[in-house]
Amino acid sequence: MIPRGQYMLIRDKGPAHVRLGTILLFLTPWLVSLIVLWYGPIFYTIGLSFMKYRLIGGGHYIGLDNYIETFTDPFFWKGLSNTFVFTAMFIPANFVLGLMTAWLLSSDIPAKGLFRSIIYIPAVLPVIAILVLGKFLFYPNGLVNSFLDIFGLPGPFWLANPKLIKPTSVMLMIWQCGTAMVIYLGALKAVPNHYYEAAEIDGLGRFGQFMRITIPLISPTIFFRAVMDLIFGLMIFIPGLVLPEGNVPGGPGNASRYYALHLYEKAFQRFNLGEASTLATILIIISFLITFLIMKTSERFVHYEA
Amino acid sequence: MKRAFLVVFIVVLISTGLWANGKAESTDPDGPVTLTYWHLWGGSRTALVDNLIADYTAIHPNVTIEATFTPPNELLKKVVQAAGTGTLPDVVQIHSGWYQDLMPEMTLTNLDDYLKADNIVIEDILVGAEASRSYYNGSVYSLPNVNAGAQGLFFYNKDLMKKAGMDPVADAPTDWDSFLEVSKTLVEELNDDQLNVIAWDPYQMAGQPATIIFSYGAGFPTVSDDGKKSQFNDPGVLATARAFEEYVDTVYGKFGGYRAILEWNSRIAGADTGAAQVQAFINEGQAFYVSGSWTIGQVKSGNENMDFGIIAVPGFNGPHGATAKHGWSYALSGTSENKQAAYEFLKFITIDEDGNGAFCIAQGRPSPITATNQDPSFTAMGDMWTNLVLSMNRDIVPVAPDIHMDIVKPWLRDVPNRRMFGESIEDIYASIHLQYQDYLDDLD
Repeated sequence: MIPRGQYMLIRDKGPAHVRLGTILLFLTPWLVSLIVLWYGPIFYTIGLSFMKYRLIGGGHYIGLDNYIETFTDPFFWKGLSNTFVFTAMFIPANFVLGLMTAWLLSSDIPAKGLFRSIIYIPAVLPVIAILVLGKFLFYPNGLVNSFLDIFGLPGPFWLANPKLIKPTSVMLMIWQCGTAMVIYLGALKAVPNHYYEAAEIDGLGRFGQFMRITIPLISPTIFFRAVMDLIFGLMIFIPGLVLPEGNVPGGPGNASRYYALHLYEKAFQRFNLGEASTLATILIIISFLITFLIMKTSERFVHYEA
Repeated sequence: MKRAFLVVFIVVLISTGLWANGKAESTDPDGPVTLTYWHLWGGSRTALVDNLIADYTAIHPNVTIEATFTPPNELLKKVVQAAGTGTLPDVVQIHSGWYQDLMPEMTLTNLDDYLKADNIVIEDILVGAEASRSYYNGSVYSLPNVNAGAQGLFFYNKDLMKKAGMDPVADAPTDWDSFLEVSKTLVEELNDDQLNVIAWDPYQMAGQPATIIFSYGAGFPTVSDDGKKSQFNDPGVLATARAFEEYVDTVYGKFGGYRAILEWNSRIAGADTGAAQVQAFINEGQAFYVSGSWTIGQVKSGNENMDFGIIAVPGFNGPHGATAKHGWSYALSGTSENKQAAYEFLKFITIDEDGNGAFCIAQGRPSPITATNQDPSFTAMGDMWTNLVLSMNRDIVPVAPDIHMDIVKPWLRDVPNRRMFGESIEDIYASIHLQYQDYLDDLD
């Protein structure tokens, strides 16, 4: 016996029930797009990864050859390590900047609405626009080096130095910390004020309140942002294409040859769709494993309210 | 109601299918025909393409040409994707070096029978190197649109040579040693502490990378004849890299070597693209420039007052000429539904003096059509033109290796960056060799 008032997926025309057909009808657009546009291509890509497949001329099954080829390719490992290094720099940088700006702008400072808008605007700009603008800033005689010159500091070759290209990319990508800021702002607003009042009575300072109240209470949001930034970091691509000195994709010296750029070149410059699909499949597995690992261990540092 | 919807749906489906299948080739030669056409001529040259189309449709009023411009750096991707999905336009611009990517037997129209039916022997019409690059596996699959055989011309600014106290004719470099000497004198005479005027940047990218122009000129190709093996590890190719290293040390060592050129690029050329670098030659920020014949028109229109000359490239073993075997061409789609009409248009924009000949003359660049190169507007250039034609006819590339310039270029452009931060030239070339071999394997 089904209790009254509950929705049931049964073929019953009773007023308290929703017909299965109606539910499916409303779900269809989403289900179709999920299957056709998401799962379909994923499984198709996995299938292609076992084939020698070029855009012209079709393909044939070659077993694990693409995987062997990929794991013995030095540029695969280079792309992977570059991507991990970028991600390892980007996540904390975006977290600190996003949270700090949100924290500052959640307090009572004058013209905070204006500051919020100013910080958020880059988040709605296309990444390519930010990078092209950033490229002019970081040229040998660009604005950044001209500024350093005022203090008598020699400006480095930001875009030509293999050691500086990734930090420069991170500096430009965190211009878009406005998205993180908005999310953190929402989370900070949701922290009940009486916690702070109680802490103040107990003599806890601003920093202590931030570390012991704010951070634990917004930890689900921090966790969410970290996962999003991780996925973003693993897919990083455009800085490697646009930024390097001399318009050298992946340069200088392959220091910005990110995984996704390597995949892009395999697929769309060399049209080796089989190996490109292998790279995509490996990336899916890596993303899944890392996310799974984080989810599994998240209980230790994420505090959900009871 | 459901049945009514079903009937409407089926009717729509059938009618759409019938319409799609109904686009069969018109059998009436004078009937209306619409041809789709992709080209890469942007900027001021779009107007020349428009003129070309207008001239053709004036003679063939039944033909409508739907032209689409695609920038050169996007064209390969677009063309291969269209070829793979059977959606190439009737007439498509390709680079003859893309044959390997395009698998012409599957995607393009073999032009042998069309040419035979017209009694056309392309060797009788075209400059030798241009005719030979039209072939793939013994058949003609494309016809040249502009000259490719004159890449690797040495442009030099006569005024800057005079300013540096040299005679622009007698002191013009003829081989590598004299080039080194002239460059050093010029840079020292025209600069104080900061490098404002350079002689030449060996890692500039104009058409082909200079490494390829010079190493091919010395007889050391960067890829095997069958196009399957990278030869960037070849001692001869490495010798070119070391010679460039010597050039940078000798000419710019006093100013800071690679670092000084990089700063110059940023400060004087304005950016790091090939377009900005030709602009530096036009603006007289650099005295020498190794580029193709298309640069003549660019320089003339960019700086009317500049007195410049063209000579053969001062190579390691003396002057050498062209290195490019491949260049821009047009081909017919293998799936075109209007092949005959498309072929007629193709002829006009490739081997016809009134069509492509006029297109090349308007740009002031040599034509793949031999007869067009006798045009008075060309021959009036005197020695410059004679040197250029001489260079064009020195096709020194052995067979037809596909250089895949777009792939190799960025890696070579990266050499100064990598050198500046401590990588040895041997390590850099070893890594380029690996990368190029990986690329060639991907094509196989």
